[in-house]
Amino acid sequence: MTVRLELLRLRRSRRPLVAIACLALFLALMLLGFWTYAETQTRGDVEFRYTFENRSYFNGLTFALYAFYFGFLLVLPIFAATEGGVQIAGDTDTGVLRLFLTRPVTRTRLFLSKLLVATALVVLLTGALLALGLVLGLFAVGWGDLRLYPGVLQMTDRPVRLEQSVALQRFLMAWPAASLALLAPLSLSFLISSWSRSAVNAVAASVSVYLVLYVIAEIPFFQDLRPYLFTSAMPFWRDLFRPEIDWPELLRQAARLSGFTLLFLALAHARLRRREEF
Amino acid sequence: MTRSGRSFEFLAVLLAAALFAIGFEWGAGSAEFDPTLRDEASLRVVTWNLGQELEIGASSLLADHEAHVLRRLQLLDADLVVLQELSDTDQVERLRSGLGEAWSSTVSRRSAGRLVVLLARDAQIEPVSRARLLRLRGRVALATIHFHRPGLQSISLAVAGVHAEAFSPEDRNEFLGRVRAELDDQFGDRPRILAGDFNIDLDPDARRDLFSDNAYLDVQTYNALLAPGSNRPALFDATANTGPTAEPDRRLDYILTEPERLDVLRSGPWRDQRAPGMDHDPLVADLALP
Repeated sequence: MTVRLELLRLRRSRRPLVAIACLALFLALMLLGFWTYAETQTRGDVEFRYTFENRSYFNGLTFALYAFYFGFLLVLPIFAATEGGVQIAGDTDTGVLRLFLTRPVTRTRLFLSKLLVATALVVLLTGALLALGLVLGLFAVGWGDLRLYPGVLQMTDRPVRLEQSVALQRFLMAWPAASLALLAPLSLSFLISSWSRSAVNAVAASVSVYLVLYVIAEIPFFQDLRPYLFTSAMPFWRDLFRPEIDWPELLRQAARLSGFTLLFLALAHARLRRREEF
Repeated sequence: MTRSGRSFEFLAVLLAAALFAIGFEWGAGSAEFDPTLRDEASLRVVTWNLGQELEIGASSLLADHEAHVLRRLQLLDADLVVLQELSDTDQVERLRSGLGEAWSSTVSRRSAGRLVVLLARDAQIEPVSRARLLRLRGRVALATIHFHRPGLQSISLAVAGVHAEAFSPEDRNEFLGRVRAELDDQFGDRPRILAGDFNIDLDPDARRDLFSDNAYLDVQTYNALLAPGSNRPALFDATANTGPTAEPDRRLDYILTEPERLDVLRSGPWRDQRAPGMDHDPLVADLALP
């Protein structure tokens, strides 16, 4: 009942539609950027002399992967943070949470219902970004084999060529993996949201914390901190695009991220359970 | 109602702890390269930039540090050693004679007061002509090396030891491209090894935007080195994913080999072996003999 109600509220809020529209705009801009970049760099030249830049490299699968990578790092976490902020702090702000708690529903059940709905949205948006990128890549550029080179967005440590069918399987596998990764910023936003009464403040704080952690993980001075920042482990799904998937390492990264997710959720729930004022 | 909530929190924290233990490999031993592990049937290749960049400013190998370097090379028990930043042929000869009579050497042309040297044990070195080295326009020692040690008798390798330009990505792109082309075209079908200080930092686990002057071109250079040639197969980065080799946490040194002909058994930098002021670790790769 609670879950159905939350789903209904989510649908009526139009947040999923707005998010998907934003993703579509993002992909359109990415496609424009890729096209102009390829034209500028190759000028039609396909010679591979001291360079990997040629038109066959920039096919629809390459576009979909790179667009998904950028979207995953910078766009999807914002939607995840927004959803977490809205779910608790937003309902606190509007008084809906107080209304819910007058009903015979445990706070734990309420928390888990909201978490389930937010998770569903994150999974949906992740799949939508992947699917839209692939479809756009197919019609605008055309698919083919997926070629990856070391040093470019750190996707691989050696030159890789995946056949189209294998590459598409890896895209399918990347969907749940990336969704799992996004649960970490989502649960962080739940934690921040459980302390806040304003959705705007909760979302702003969640996005800020995510961006700060992401930037710190990128700066060499903080190399010793990097393993302990969940943002470092989030792109672990990239390893799915290696010729031989290192499953133990992949699962280690997934375990690390899941640990952060559960820790944030435990703290968020503890806060929600103890709160007296809504 | 409170009890179920506390149970959820307890289980979540417990599960998080278990996942962290898995994710951070608590209790696992260190995976640092151990040069004492050595398969006798393998070919051990070492590359080491011996220059001084810290404390006193840039310099080639100091005379005071020769004994330190010699001791490390003896401990490594290598078959093929590529060294950069030696000052002159007298220094090369001191190191070679310190390693023993079984060792022979060939050097690059001297550029900016520095040399690259190839040292090989129980081997006959056929260096390329001076004219060819001059055409390559950089610090490269290039030779056919015929190993005749028991267990290695049948192996002849085309070996290039390089020290690429540190401050110009265009120069190192062109130079490394020329060396790769030379290896492909001038040594028949011999297995190739290209090793040395490339001055390209492409560690896939790191971000080096603050230090790379042209990451885009360096990416191209690296990929071009690994790509198949017009008449030769691709090279393989034998020390990929083994971590940084130089200050401050950059991977600048490489050993490229031919996969399937010279498979990598183990590889990595040997840490904590620098003399004071040095900024590179020795990089080691044990290759399976064909």
